[in-house]
Amino acid sequence: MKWIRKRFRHLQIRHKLIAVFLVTSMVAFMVNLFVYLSLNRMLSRIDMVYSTNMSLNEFADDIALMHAGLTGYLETKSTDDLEQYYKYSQEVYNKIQQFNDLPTDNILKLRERNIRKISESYITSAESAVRAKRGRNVQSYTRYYKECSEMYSEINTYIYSLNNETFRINSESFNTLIGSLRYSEMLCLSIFIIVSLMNVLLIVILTGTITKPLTSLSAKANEISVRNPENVEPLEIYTEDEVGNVTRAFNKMLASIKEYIVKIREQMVTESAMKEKSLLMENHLKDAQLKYLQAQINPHFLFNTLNAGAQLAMVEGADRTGEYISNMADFFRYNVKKDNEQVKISEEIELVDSYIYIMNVRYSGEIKFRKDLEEDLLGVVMPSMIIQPIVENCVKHGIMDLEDRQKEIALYLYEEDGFATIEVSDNGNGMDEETIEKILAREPSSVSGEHTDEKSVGLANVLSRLDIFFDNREQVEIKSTIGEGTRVIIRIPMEKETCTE
Amino acid sequence: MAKKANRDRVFLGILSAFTVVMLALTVVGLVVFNIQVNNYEASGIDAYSTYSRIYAYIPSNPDSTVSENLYQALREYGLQNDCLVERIGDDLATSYSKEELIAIAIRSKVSGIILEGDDSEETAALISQAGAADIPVVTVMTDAPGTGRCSFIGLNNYSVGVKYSDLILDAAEDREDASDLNALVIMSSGASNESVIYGAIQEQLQGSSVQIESVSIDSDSAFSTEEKVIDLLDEYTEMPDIIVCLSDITTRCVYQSVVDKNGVGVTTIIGYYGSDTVLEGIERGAIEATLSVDTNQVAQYCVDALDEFIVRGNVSEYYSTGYVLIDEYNVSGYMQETSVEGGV
Repeated sequence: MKWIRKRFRHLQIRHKLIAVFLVTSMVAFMVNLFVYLSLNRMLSRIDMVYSTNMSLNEFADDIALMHAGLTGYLETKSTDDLEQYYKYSQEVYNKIQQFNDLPTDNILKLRERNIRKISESYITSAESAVRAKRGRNVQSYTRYYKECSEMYSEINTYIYSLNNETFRINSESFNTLIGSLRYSEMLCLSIFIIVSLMNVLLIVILTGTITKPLTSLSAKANEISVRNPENVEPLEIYTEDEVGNVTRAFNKMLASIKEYIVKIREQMVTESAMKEKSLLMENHLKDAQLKYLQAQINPHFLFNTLNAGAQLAMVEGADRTGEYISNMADFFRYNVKKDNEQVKISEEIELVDSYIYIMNVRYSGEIKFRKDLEEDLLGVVMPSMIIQPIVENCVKHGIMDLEDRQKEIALYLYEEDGFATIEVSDNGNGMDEETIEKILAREPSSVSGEHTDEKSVGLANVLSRLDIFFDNREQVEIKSTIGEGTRVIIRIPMEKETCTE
Repeated sequence: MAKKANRDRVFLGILSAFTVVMLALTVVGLVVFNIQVNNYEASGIDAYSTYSRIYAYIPSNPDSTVSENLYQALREYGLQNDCLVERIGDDLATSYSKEELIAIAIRSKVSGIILEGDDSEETAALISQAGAADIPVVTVMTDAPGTGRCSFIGLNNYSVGVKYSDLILDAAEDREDASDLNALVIMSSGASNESVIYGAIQEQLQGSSVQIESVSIDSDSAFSTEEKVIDLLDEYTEMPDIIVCLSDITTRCVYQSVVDKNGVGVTTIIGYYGSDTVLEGIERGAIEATLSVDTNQVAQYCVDALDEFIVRGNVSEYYSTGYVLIDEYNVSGYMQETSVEGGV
């Protein structure tokens, strides 16, 4: 059964339909065949019933003709009669050979036996009569003929009785057969109805197996159209036919849709994170720029006027003033120009140079600025406004109030472990561990908090922008000893895209 | 959706159940149909048993209860011994005389003939003819003396006669008018055994107060016996005191006539054979007693005698069977037996 079901599942729809019709047709055919054979058997019985009567009548005719031949021959010695006698004698002889020969309790067969035996006696006596006739022994053939006539009469009586008996039994049989035929009529009708019902059932079941997967497929497609495909379960595959293939493809499609949805969702998350990062970066930059713009009243105007002042100083021969004003102009130009966030380290260092120059003019050359730079690293890209705020912090909080020794600031640029390392150090007051931790924790105004009135960019801002720019891959280190100075070390990743010559 | 699926399932379930029931009915129908066809085939038209020998039974009066019961007994015992006993001429379209039936039996080449004998020459000639055709003949109930029959199976007629005379004397004693009683013995013409019985009765009653006379009734045609019995009794202005019937049919006819003539209690009837009517008469007290024959024993002797003759070529010429007396004391037992077997 399982094997059949398995085989059926693997059949093509066309073959399934053929199988359904073949099975139902076979059932109908088998039943009809059975009924037909049974009816045929009964009809042949009916046929046989009356054939015995017919053959008995034929036998009676033969023996009558034989007796007529014998009578004719004995009367006239006619050759025709003798021929007739012999012909029918042979016929009778042949026919009685088919009659029963044994004593039996069946009345019909017993009558047959008697007919046969009396007929044999008749033939013997008739032969004797013919022989006596030839020998012209009148007395003898008369006696034999008398015997023959008696036997002829007896045979006829027996045939008549047998015919009657057979007819009586046959009539009973006929009634039985008619009854059976009526029964079989009803039976055929019932079978026809039953087989039709069975066929309907078979077709319902078998076509159900064909259409069920299609119905499920259609329902599932509807479900997908109205619901989130992610919550739709894949279809069960019932068959291995064409519908099975379509179902399998449908399931694959459903799985692909789910996969795409997941990918798109991840992509959206990434994009939104990136957008968020970009906005954050922009905010910080804007914040820094705003502070600078607030700090410098109209930098453009200032820059232009400073340029005009520098030119005037040059014309008047005040070279140092001219240079000072020129550095001021450069410093402000950088602020004005570098509104985009990416700059080369060299540009950052130029800004630091300008700033130190200005500071030295302001503080009468008290600040000793040293720098040691690896030329190769000058093209490395980094966010703008990073080094100058650190240097500014060194000046403001480190060395500004230094009385007892030379105010020194050093800037180093070198490569270390694949990082471009920018190191800014001073020999100022230094800071305590708590302050360092606050700075490294990017707490706002951790350093410039005490000087919130001063419009400068805080270290927290600097470090936050570095975080955003390098995705936290940069390393910041602050080493400080109270009274001896501070070292701020920034290691920025050197990536191809961040290196421009 | 689920409701529809449920409805479909219910529909399918009903359809399946209906189909299964109908399928079972179909199978049952087909089986019944097949059985019916097979039954028809086995209805006996073709089914039969064969036997190695066939004996023809030819009674003088096939309609008598004695011959009918004897035929049944013969047939039953024969079948047990691989031989079929056929009552020749039974149910044929033409009715044949006993002699014609013997001729038919000879021409039918039966293995043996069981014949109710008579003393006619024609019968004797036919018995000889049968002997010439190697067909042994045994006579039963009535002998055919002086013929070539192999054996006779029947009652010892003399002793039966003696018993009848005893019964007559007993009946005479029972009557109040015991003197000058007359007894009428009704015989069938041509029955030699009845002559012997009558002879014995006469012999025994000699010197008694009972006057005995006999009358022979020719029962050669149908219904003649009854008519002749009525005629006979009508001849008497006073019914005979005792009537002795030596055949079953005369017993029944006399019983009926005596009842019709309101002669019960007036005439004592002593009958022959224990047919239903006779037993009924005894039970009602209309018939004094009857002498019967054990048909089973007779049948057994007949078949055995023929078998023995066929096998050995000779057989005892005479087999005597005992008679059975049935009177008011034991009639009920025989009536029960009769109701079971259909005759004594």
